[in-house]
Order: sequence, then structure tokens, then C-alpha cells
Amino acid sequence: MSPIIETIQLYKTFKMGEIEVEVLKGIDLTINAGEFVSIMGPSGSGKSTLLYLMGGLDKPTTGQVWIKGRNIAVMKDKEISILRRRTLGFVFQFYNLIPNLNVEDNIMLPVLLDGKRLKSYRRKLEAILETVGLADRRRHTPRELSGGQQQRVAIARALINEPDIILADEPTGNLDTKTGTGIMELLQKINQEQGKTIVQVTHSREAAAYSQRIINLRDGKVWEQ
Amino acid sequence: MRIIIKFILKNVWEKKLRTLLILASVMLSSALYFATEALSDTAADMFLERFRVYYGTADLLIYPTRESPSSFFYRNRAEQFGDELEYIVGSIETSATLSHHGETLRLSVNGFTLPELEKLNPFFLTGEDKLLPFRGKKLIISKKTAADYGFKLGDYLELDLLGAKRKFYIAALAEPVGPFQDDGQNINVVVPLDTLATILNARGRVAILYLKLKDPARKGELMEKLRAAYPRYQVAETITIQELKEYTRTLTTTFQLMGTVVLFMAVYIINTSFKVITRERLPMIGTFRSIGATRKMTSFVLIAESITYGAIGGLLGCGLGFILLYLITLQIASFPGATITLRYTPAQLGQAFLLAVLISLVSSLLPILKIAKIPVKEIIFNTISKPTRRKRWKTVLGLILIAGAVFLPPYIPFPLLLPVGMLLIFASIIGCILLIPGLTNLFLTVFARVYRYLFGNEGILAAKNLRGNKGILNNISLLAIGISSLLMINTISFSVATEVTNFYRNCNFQIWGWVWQADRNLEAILRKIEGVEAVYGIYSANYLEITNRKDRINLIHGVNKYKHLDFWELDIDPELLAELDTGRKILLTNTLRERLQVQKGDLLTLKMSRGERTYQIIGFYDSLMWNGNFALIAEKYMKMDMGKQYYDDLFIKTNLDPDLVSATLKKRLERRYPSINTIADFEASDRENNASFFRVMRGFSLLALVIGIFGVFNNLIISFLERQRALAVLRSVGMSKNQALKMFLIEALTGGLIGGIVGALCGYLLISISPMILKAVAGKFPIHQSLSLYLSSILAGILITVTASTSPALKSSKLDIVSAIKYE
Repeated sequence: MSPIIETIQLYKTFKMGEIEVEVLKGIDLTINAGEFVSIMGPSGSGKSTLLYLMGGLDKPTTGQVWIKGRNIAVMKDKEISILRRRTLGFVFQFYNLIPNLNVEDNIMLPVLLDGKRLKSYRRKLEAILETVGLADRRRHTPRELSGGQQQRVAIARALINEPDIILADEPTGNLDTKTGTGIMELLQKINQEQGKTIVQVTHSREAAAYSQRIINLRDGKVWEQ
Repeated sequence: MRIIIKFILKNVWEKKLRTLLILASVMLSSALYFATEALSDTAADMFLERFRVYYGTADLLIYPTRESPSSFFYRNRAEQFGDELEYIVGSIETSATLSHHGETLRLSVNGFTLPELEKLNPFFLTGEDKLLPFRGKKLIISKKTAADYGFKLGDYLELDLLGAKRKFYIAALAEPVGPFQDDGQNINVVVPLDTLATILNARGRVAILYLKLKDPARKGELMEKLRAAYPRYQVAETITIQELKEYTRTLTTTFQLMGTVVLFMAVYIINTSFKVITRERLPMIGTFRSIGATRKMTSFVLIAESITYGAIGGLLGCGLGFILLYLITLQIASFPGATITLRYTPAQLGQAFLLAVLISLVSSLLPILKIAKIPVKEIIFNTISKPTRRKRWKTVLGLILIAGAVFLPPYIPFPLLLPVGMLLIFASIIGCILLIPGLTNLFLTVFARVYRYLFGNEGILAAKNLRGNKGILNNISLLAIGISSLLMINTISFSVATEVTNFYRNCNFQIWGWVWQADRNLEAILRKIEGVEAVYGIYSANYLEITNRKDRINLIHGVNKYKHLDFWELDIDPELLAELDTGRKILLTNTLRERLQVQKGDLLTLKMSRGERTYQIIGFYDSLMWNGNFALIAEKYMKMDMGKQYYDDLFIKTNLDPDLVSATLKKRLERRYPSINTIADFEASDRENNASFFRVMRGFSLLALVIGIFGVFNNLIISFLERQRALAVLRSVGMSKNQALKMFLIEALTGGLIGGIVGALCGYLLISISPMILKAVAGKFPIHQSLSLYLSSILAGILITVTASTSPALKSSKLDIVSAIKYE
């Protein structure tokens, strides 16, 4: 398997007033294509920060993030936006759907942003709605859906542009156990059937059990892999 | 308590832009209220001051008419009522000209004794030389006029008085107040009464008597006695209460209208601001409530905050009110150099302050009470249920309000037209606001289809984002109120300006004049003057009481059926005009028809010089003359019932340059004290008078728009803050900075476009309703719509929103995605 994500000597420092807090202290990681990896660690260990750096949502203080052989830390805004649209898919703890758009519109957002015609994605949309089990909820707005259903919409949105990597930040963190299990099973299915690389940040051992590899962070450093 | 006050003040100070917006709204509303209220008294004062130059403090006047046996009369008949009078002042007044450095100055020469003038109209001398005894050829002139023309105390002025040159000695200079005030037309000079009496051969008689009553309540009774004593002279009030009321009402109604629009916008802005304030304070309210604070306590803190805004805005508003009042008064001052004294009462200041507090309190009360109803559990766990159902009743109510405003006016009785009409105007604004969500969705459906081709997928996304976006809906409402009121004011002023021109376009003659004792002989003389093509002398009567209707007609023309339609382009059937000659018949304007609620065949009893006469209404026509308070009867009945011998007005057609002919006429008729002007002069002067008034109105409506712009800016910032997370999500799924910027600008463009269109539609509605209501104060006049005005309003809407959205758009491109996404 070839590496799809690589971090080299990744450092991230935040300024909190006068104090500088070093959250990541030289992370070196390699994630291979098709892997399902969980990043775990106590609160404040830097796991979400690491995920956001991998997704290009934030810039490292120093170090490199390589996605499919390209260092995203030096990419311009347009390039990194295209990467987020086409190569990466995000799933967040609080679902982060656009409240005034319905299920279909929320799922189609990356397509819209990519300047593609929505019509050409109709079939794909139908297939994804079937996969996430929301075909009968397509016209509903997020407010009309349960937490689990909202998270399925977020997963569908992450899948619509057929990205190679899905980054998930506590995907079950806001759900009850039963719904959380459903979501993890869905992610596992996507990983196994579609060969997507999945990196999730989680506190939950149950959720982490679905992954092939667990990376533990402590005080901004990789503790064990 | 100290902690709560500190907490409130900190909240007020914390969000500076919002505080500024709320304070500006409250301040402007209370300032406009104060200015409009005080304007009524100030304008009345100015009106009285304007006439003080002529009437001093007198209540009644006795003077000869053209039908009087002589131009002079004895004062002894009035003196028999001396017990009831504070003073009787006699005067002789005439005019003169003075050649000064090639310019001919017109002087109003007033003969008084100094003690009597002091009683009538107190004056202040700034310098005198051999003034006393005030006899012989001496005169007093205002120091301002003296300075303007370079006259000095002790100079001699050679006046051309009654065709003879007479030298008068400047014996005193006076402050330009009272009888020496500049009325913008003549130079007022005072000469000894005896001197003028000798020149005019008055022989102990006077030409005018000014009387001041000890008890003004007995004015009517005394007038009857004086009319009996001077049966062939005019006994009149100096200024009637009705004249004063009409003047101030015309002036203040429009200001009240605009003030209320601003008030409306202020309420809207404060209400939306408090919706945000209460939402922001929700976690704090939850904390307070969880540690034992009652709903009343938390509501009290918010109400106190709202009162603080009201109190600060009220104080600032009172200050701004003075400035506004001064500026308005300055613009509407009736003549150059008029003294401007601001009249206001402490009660008006108090009311303005109270209004400020009330606006703030009332506008914020609903959001405060709404937040108080939320259970503490829902606040703490952030599980507040939001209503998702569309409120259809709002659309229905909006349609009902608009339908009411459109269809009700014809059924409103004339006396109620103004107050009910104003309510209907506001009902239609509220109606439009209630329809805005529905209209916006309709527009967005259309725009989404077009935007795909114009702006690509970002256009579709922008249109989707706008659906149900409260910030955008608020902006559209603010723009709609601002633009519609601006459109209404501008269209009305544009219409008035056009109608002024159109009104004079109805004159088929070029010169309009008034000449002392004009009759058929004079007409014949005039016809022989070079350039005069035709002359039409007309008899008229003013302010005739209609005894069976308790109203009055301000102007009646006694028309010559052969000449009238040749000189006036009126939409009257010539046969109907000819019918006037067949009996006591009258034609009324449509404005009078509605005002008097009469129809063809009804009878009007008019109180005329020779007693009461009943006229039958035979038809109606449209005219803007005297604001439509105008009627026509036959010439012969005017002569018969009013005892007319001389024409009141002369209409002259010329085939040469009207200015040259007018100058020739003035010269030839010099000894008859002519007042001759060209139609072009009248048109220019009317246009200028209207222009200054509408300048102020436009200023008012611009203020409303400025508040609107503040509101739009605030809404966009609020909207940005609320959407930060959604924007971060869009960025996380691949939206670039440029795309975010583009989307923001498309949203602003769309919001502005819809705001402009809804504003234009609402404006059209207001413009259609307002003439029906304004006829209560200004008579009936047609509205002239201007397409360019509508287009520029829509463009203004777009410009305002796009400009105001620059800041949030730039902020959106600098957004920190991670912190915005993590924020919950």
C-alpha cells in the first residue's frame, strides 16, 4: 500500500493572549491508502488539531503535510480548496450542515463548489442516499432530522465527489450508542467496499475498534501507534 | 443594584456599532418629533411675524374697497367704541419710487404719528437727526436698507410720489424689525401722517384704521358694530385663526408624515437589534436563572438596558431637534431676512424625551418577553425549539392591509381624510413588510434560474442561502421602507413642480396684472399699447362663506362666457360656461366637490357683499388654482351680488416679448399703482417656493435612508456573525476565498435588488394612495411618475447593500475555519 497522508515534523503553536501553547510537537505520521485509522488521546492532546492540519483547514507553524504526494502546507487558497473538494471529505462531531438547505442540497455542496452541473450527479446522489439510508428524507432540512440522520447526511456530503480520504472528527461524539454504532458501521462499509482512506479522531474505544490502526497522542506527540 | 447598573452600562458600551445604531434611531426619531411639534408654533410665529410688518399687533382693520365712496374716511365712528378698544391707529399708505444709481426702487410709504406707530408696531431707532417734531418731509428708514443702498442719516431722498418729485429728509434709522422689516418686495418707510394727508388731500381723514381689542373674545360682536358704522368699507380681521391653521397644517402635515416613517424605521431597527441582544444574552440569562433569578429579574435587566438606550437617545435627540428645527425654519422662511425665532415649550422637549424612551421600550418589549417565556432547562441545554411553520397569517394580513389602503380612501369622509389617510399609509407600509418573505421567495425562485447562467454555481448557492435568511429579510424591509418613502416624497415634489408648470400652461395669456380701478375704459387703453393683443378683465371674490355648509370658497371668478375659455385652457364644456349666465349658477372644482360633499343640482348659499345669495351647482372641473378651492360664476352675477365696479385681475395676451410689454405697461400705468408680472415670473417664483420646501422634505427622507443604511450595515454584520459557522463549513468542503467573496457579493446584490424592487413597489403603492389623502391639505393634483426615479431607487438599493456588504465579505475571506467550526 502506498502512503496517502504523511506528516513530517509537524508543529503547531497557538497564542492565547500573551502565552504561546505548543499543541503539536513534531508529529511524524504515515497513513496508507485504504487504511482506517483512529487518532485517540486525552482532551488537549492535539488530535483534532492534527486532523484539521491534515485537511488543510489550518496551517502548521512548521513542518509538512503531504497528501497524495503534494505538500499542502505550501499550497495557495485555490489549490487547497480544490483539494478539499475533490480529495478530502469531512465529517464533524456536530454534523455542520447548512441549516436552511435540505438534505439533497447539503449533500451536493461540494459539487456546486466544484462548478459542476448538478444534473450530471443525480444518479450518484441517488446511490449515496441509498447507501446512507436517507432516500425518503431528501427534502427535509437538518432541523427536521435526528442526530444520526444528520451525521449520515454529513457522510453523504463527504462522499459525493468521490474523495480518496475521509477525515472524521468525533463522528459519534454527539450520538447515542446505538446510533453511533450505525454510523461506525457505515464508515467501515465505505472503507471496505469503496476503499476510501478514513482517519477519525475519537475518544470512544468502541468507535476506535472499527479501525485497523490506532494512533495515540499525548501532549502533542505520538505516544504509540 | 450597582452591579446591575454596571452590567447594563457594560453591555451598552460593549457593542459599539449596535449601540450607535440604536442611539441614532432613537435620537433621530425624537429629534424629528420635537422639530415637527415645535415647527407648528415656530411657523405660526413666523407667519404672524411676516404680517406684523403690515398689521402690527392689531386685531382688526378698516379700509376702503374699490366700491367705497372715497379712499379716505373719518376715524370718529370707530372712536365711539373706544371703551372696547386698547387702541385705534390711523394711517395713510401709498407707494413711491426712487431712482438710485440707475435702478428704480419701490417704496411703501406709510404715514403715521410716532406715538400711534409705537402702539401699533413697536420700533427701535438706532440713530436720529431732527426727528422731532415729526412733521414735514421727514422719513424713517431701516438701517439695513440704508446700509444696502448707502443712505445716511441726514441724506435727502427724492421720492417720485403721485407723479411729483418730493425730497424727504432721513431723520431716523430703525432696526429692521416691526414696521421696518424687509418683506422682500418693498422698502418700508414711515413719514408723518399729516404730511401724507396733505399730499393726498385727505383732510383729516385716514386710509386705514388699525384696532386692537381689549377683549379678543368679543371680536365678532365688535366687527358687526363696526360694519354697521362703516357700511361701505371693509372691516376685517388682520389674520384669521383659520388662515393661521391652514398655513401651519399644510407645513406640518408632510413633516409629520416623514417623522412617522422615520419612527417606524427606528422601531423596526430597535426591535431587530433587541432580538439579537436577547439571543446573545441567552446563556447569561440561563446562568442567572439557574442560580435563582426570576423571569421578572432577568427581564428587568433587559428592560433597563432598553430604557438606557431610550434615555441617552432622547437627550441627544432633543439637542439634534433644535438643530433640525433651525434648519427647517431657515429653509421655509417666507422671505429673505425674516427673523427666525425658534418657538418651543418645555412640554414639547419633555414629550420628545418621553417618546425616545417609549420607542426604545416598546420596540424591545416583544423580544424581551419572548425570551422570558423560554424554560430555563431549554436555555441551559440549548434545546430551544424554533417554530418551523410558515406564518401564512402574516401574508393574509399584509394583503388585507394593502387592500384596505387602496380601496378605502374614496369612502373616507373629507374631515377624516387626513388622520385616517395617514393611518392607511402606514398600514400599507406594514402590509408590504408582511408580504416581504413571500415576495422574496418568489424573486429568489426566478433569480436562482437566471443566476446559474450569470454567476455559475455560486449564484445558485447564494440564492439558496438567501431563502429564509432573516438578516436579508430585515435588510429588504429596511430598504423597502427607506426607498418607498424617498420615492413618495420625490414623486410628489416632482409632480408639484410639473403641475406648477402645467398650471401656468393653462394660461393662454402671457401677462397677469392688477391695476387700481381697472374697468372697460382701461381695457380699451391697454389694447392700444404696442404688443398688447387682447385683454380680459375679471371680477373675483375671496373667502366667501357658504352659510348652508359651514365652509368657504377661497376664490370665485366672475367669468365672461365669450372670453374665459380663450384665456384659460380649462376642461369645461363651453355650453356649461354659457349656462352660468342663465341664473345664479356655479361651477366648482372637483376638489371642492369632494370637500363639500356636493353634487350637481345642489344649492350653495354664499354670504356676499349684498347679502346671502343662493347658487345652484351645474358642474365640476379640475383646477389647481388656490389649491382647488376655487369656483366660477357668471360675470353679471358677480357684479350684481358683490357690487363690483372694477376688475380684480387683468389677463393680457401679447405677441411681443412679455418682459418688454410688462415693462411698458408698468411705465404707462405708473399712476395707477400697477402690479404686473409675466406668467414666466410667477412660474419661476412658485417653483422656487416649492423647491425650498421640498428640499427640506428630501432632507428628511434622506435621513430616513441614512438610518436605513445603518440598519442594513448592522444586519449584514449580524448575519455574518450568525453565519460564520455555515461559512466555515462551506470552506471546509472546498469553497475558496474568492468563491466566498463572490457568494457574499451576489447575496448582497440580490438582497439590494429585491429590496429596491419591493421598495419601488411599496413606493408605487404609497404614491397611488397619497394623492387621495393629500387632497385634504393641498387640493387635488395629478401625480407624475418618473421611471428614472424608480430605476435609480432600485440602483440605490443595490449600491447600499453591496457597499455595506464589503466589510462582512472581506471578513468572510479571512475567516478562521477551525475556530468557527468548533464554536457551538
